[in-house]
Amino acid sequence: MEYKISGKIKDKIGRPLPGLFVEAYDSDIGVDDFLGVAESDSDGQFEIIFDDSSFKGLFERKPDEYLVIRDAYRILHKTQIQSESGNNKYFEIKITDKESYEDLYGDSLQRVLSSFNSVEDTVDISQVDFRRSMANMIRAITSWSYYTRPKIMNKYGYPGPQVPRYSKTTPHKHTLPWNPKE
Amino acid sequence: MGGIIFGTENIEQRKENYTLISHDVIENVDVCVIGSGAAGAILASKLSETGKSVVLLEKGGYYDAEDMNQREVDMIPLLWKNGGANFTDNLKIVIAQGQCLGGSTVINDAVCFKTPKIVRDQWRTIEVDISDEEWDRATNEVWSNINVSRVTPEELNKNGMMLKKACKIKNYKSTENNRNCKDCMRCGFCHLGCHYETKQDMLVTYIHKAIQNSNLRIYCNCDAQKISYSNGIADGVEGNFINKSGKTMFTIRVNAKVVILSAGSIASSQILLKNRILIDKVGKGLSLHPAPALLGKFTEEINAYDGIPMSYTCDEFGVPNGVEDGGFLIESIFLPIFSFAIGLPSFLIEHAQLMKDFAHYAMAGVMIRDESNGSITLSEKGNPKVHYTLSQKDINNLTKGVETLADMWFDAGAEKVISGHEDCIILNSKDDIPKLVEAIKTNPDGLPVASAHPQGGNRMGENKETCVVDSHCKVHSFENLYVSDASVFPTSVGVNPQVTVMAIATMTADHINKIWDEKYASLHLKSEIGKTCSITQLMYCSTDRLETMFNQANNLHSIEMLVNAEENKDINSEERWSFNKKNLMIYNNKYWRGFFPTDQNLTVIRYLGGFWKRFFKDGDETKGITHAYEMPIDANNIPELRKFAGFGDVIHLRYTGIQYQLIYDLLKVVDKDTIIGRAFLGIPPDGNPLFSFSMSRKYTASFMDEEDHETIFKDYGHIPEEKDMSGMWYVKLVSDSAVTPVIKALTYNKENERLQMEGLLRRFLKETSQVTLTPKQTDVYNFTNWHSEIKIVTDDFAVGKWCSPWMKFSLDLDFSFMSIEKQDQESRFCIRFILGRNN
Repeated sequence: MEYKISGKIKDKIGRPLPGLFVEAYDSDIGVDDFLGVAESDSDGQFEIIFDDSSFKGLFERKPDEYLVIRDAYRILHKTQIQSESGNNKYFEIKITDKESYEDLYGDSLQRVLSSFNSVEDTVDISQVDFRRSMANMIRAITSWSYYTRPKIMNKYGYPGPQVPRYSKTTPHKHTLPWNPKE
Repeated sequence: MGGIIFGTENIEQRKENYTLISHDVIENVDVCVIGSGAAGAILASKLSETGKSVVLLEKGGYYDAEDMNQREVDMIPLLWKNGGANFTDNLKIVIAQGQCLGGSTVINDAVCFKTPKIVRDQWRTIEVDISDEEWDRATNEVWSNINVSRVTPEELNKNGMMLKKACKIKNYKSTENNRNCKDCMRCGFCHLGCHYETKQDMLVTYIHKAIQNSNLRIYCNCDAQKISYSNGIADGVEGNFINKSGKTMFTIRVNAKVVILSAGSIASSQILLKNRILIDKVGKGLSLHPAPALLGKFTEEINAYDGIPMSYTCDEFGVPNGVEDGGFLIESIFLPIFSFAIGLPSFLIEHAQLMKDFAHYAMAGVMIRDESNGSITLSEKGNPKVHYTLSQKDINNLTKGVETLADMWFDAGAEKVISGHEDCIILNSKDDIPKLVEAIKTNPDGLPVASAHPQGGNRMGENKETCVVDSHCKVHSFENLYVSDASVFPTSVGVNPQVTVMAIATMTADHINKIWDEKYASLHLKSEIGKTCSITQLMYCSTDRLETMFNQANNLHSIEMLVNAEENKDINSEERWSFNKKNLMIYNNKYWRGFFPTDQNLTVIRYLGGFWKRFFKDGDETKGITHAYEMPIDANNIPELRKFAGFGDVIHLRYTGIQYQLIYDLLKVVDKDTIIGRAFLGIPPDGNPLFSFSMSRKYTASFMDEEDHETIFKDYGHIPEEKDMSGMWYVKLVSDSAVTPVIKALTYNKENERLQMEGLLRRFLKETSQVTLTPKQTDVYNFTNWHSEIKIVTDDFAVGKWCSPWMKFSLDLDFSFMSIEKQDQESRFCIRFILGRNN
């Protein structure tokens, strides 16, 4: 029996995405069966045809397909498994990329730690004054845990940042609360 | 369509055209610039505007104004080099540098000084051949491009006004600063990037303009490691794209006719040293403009954080006022609260008490025009070590500056002055000033100083014996390699250096543009591909890339193509095996050497899981053998050309042995010496994919296997002489299926007339070994009874083995890089490795 998977790939605002590779797999216990691959055309449409020899095992009667969409370099999207019967399935796929946006500020600590990699062996231990360095370190850590908190800052008369933390996605005005000309 | 900025960070929207990097890159362009700060951005911009194709590499990321959220904990890790932890080797001086698109211009205080006449004259006497007209023309061009204007008296905040008041009382020469800022909001967050785009840094001036032009491509998050060159001609740059954890994601190779290094004093010297360019001159003569800061505590509120941090300068004692030798500037400055707290001396309770008066402090720094006593060297891991000491003259200057400023703060009405010197933190009146002077004299290290102006390292001058670059910033003894940034300053400049850096870059760009047609246009562009994943070197590819290439590629060749050289053919035949010393390429047609993808993360596979496949003619039929290096597996194969749905034309490799019945490979020959393969479990064509691999008959020496190693050791290496070995080497083990990571860095040097080797294993285990070089052998003995034998192949490549003593019994446990050597009745273990000058 012949099966057909077809569908359309769009971006987050609905424009068709041509030139992407769509790989079809049959979800299985253990390893998944590869069913076929196709490239999306200028309308974002694709079509994969296969027969039941591609997936039928001892107990399997119908395929449980899912699709993997990739460009030339990486996987962009994996669809949910479609297990309802029928030998002609249609997938509507939206590639948002949204889920992979990074939180720039979310991993400051990771950034700092990774940059220590390029610092650690540049220190000449024999030249370091440990008492002074320890004092500096303690000061850095206590300052970091204390003076970076907005409430504490305000206590010292420091108005703190004038824009929202996620200022790119949070609408805000460019004004200052103090009169700088004073 | 304009140029594009590339990077590894996926952010929703950017001001400029931005694309996420998702694969290795090869670029063939006219010019490659490393570093996008005050110099690099101008060079890239001015060269691309005149029609040259330019690639700009920047180690930091691209963040636009709306990303800069005025929070120290968020912005310092994003914008500052090493997350702010950028120190001299004794951890004494912190050096503020930007590491982001736009470099330090993004995080500086926008202070602009033209290069003082005195400094230009001084530089001319030490053979810097730049006329005043050239300086003026370049400086004026920069001055207008970055929209410099003087701070108006109304724009001064109370911090600046206090310094002004003190100067007036003392009748010191002083003035409001020139700044590259337009309609300044006076938010006080200059160090964290300008959210309002009023600071005219490289991002909003040169880069913004240049990126409209499609000649320019900017690669951010790209750590440039290697400048390749031969016979005084640089031909390209290689680097790694790193993610936020510093892990390499992709690689880039740029083939260029001209290479320009503008990575700043420290990084430019580091890159030159790493590439062994003029190593006896590079990295010397570093100056830092060390600057202690003094706080004046006033009764009234100063609220120094409101308004422009650096708005006023007292230049009575500095170069701008005609001081020729040394001297210092006193500049108003203030820091956001967290940086302020870190910089404030003392700790715990005393610190908390000092912090209480946060709103009452006025702050100014004393910036010393120091002598060039610093140096930059490489650490074992190839990181820059900054060594810096203050000379007695610098200490005298410091003392005088601190003394003067303390006096000024009291005159302006301060009730206390916070000096920062650990032996004399608080001055309660003018009477305490001599105590502070005494404290600095007896314990100069007790005074904390910071630096934001690393300069020098690659001195400019016409004298080839002492200088790294000539007056046009071209590296001596090179045709087309330039270093243009603060690292070329022959002495410290004595004022905030950004405009001087920009002027030098402007002159360099103009010079290159002028001589381009005559000198560079006709240069032959090399077509190297570096370590990028591409169809001819699949060993650099990740699983994802291999799979995609497998899906896209066609099988280009017949089964006949697979056949390897005959086994019993003359062992030295070129057809069977050859090694090209020039490019370190191995041609190995004894079999197809297998490689696993770069992202397979089982270390054990890297060292132990390798395989090869050999194909041969059996009558008319082509047959094959799959051999695993470490296991007694020699599986018989039969290759067949097939057409499989979903795969197209492929070579189906059948395993004939009964135990391998469930396994098969699909191969696509994509190049006469290159194959992409996928292994499957099941019945073709519907088996389940197990893993992907590639196979080659041609690979670089970094991928050699043990047999290659033995041949090269025996036939292509020679016993090194002292001069061949001296310096630093990186060691990698010879593995089965991939390039192994560097396990160790070795340095050979001479101590008491004897060559010795120092190695650092895992950062803790330091070993020093005696080296004996005889005409027959190099022996390196360490604390074990094993020893190393090393043979040098080229100037920067060597092979070696670390062997046990000969033993009187027969061994036959031969696995991976641990091999067995036999001689007469004896045998020994040897661990094989390769040594390279680059890591």
